[in-house]
Amino acid sequence: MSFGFRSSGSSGLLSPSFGGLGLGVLDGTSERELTLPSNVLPPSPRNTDPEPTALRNRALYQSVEPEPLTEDPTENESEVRDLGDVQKNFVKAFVEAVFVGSFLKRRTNPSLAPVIADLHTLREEEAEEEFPITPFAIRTALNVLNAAFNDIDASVPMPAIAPDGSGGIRIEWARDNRNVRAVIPSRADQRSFVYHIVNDASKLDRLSGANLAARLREVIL
Amino acid sequence: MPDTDSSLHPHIYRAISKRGWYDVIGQAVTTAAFEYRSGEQEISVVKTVNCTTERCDGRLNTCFGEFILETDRVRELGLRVEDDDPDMQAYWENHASILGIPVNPDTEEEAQRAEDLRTFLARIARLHYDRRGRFEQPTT
Repeated sequence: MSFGFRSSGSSGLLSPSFGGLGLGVLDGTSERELTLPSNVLPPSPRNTDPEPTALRNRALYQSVEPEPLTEDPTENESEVRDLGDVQKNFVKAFVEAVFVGSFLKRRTNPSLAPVIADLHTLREEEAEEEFPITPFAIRTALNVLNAAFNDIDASVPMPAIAPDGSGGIRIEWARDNRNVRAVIPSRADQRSFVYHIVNDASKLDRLSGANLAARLREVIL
Repeated sequence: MPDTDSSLHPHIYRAISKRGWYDVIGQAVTTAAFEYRSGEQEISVVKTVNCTTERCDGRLNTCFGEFILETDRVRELGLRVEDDDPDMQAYWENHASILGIPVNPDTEEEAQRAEDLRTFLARIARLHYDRRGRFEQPTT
């Protein structure tokens, strides 16, 4: 049994599949609506190693590699025993497909796509670290970035995105002696905020897309 | 712990363990470079560097290079720069620490103070050595 996202030939599209069947009908949308056009997730301009980045981005949407069919009955039994994990992985991949699909459909600011690509690259890079980026941090970052960028009509400069060393994410914009950053912790019970500073005068605001957009307009744009 | 002698060590070096610690597009150090990892209460630095790709003075498995900071300018921010205590088990002559950034801030004021200090450290830090050529400005 195989599932995940597959490249659909020369078009460069990535589409989810499960044993060869489309997923779209399961949430009442068409499979076409869940496909991810290649141009919405371009290679990150921060990554100076384009080939591994492309591979990582591709791997991100192939949560589970298809396994070859086997004639060995013991291997098939093993596959049945692992069905629980397969189902869990499928649900995880499916939820991500729906989430990313619906997320990208709402996207209006073209500055957002490379930021999301870099965010996912970071998650991949940190996956094997002692403190990998947590799902909470990724989810929060996506929500805040989406809300903020879509609240801004202008092009938004590419931020620097870095792990905080404890499973959270720091997203930073700088211009001369002006800085804005979203500090996103690894867990919901930790402090999250939008920080900005102009020369030596700083302030913390509650983390939200609206606050981030307001500070970016005021300090960076 | 004894103060690091800035006449002997006018510069200290922060090993770069994450690519995101340097903003390639803006060619600037990011504040993430001065964030505590889980359980840390100080920012580790070294007093001298003699790096090659085979040998890392930061003793890190993954190191992208070093940032350089002026020892006295770090102190001017109200932070301390101290050598390792010779009596401690993990003593290393070349190691020092930046201390004074609030750890696990309880209040918004403390959190803001911590972010201010990280901002100022990032502003005075410069890229010293780009070991893997990852931080060159993109040409396109």
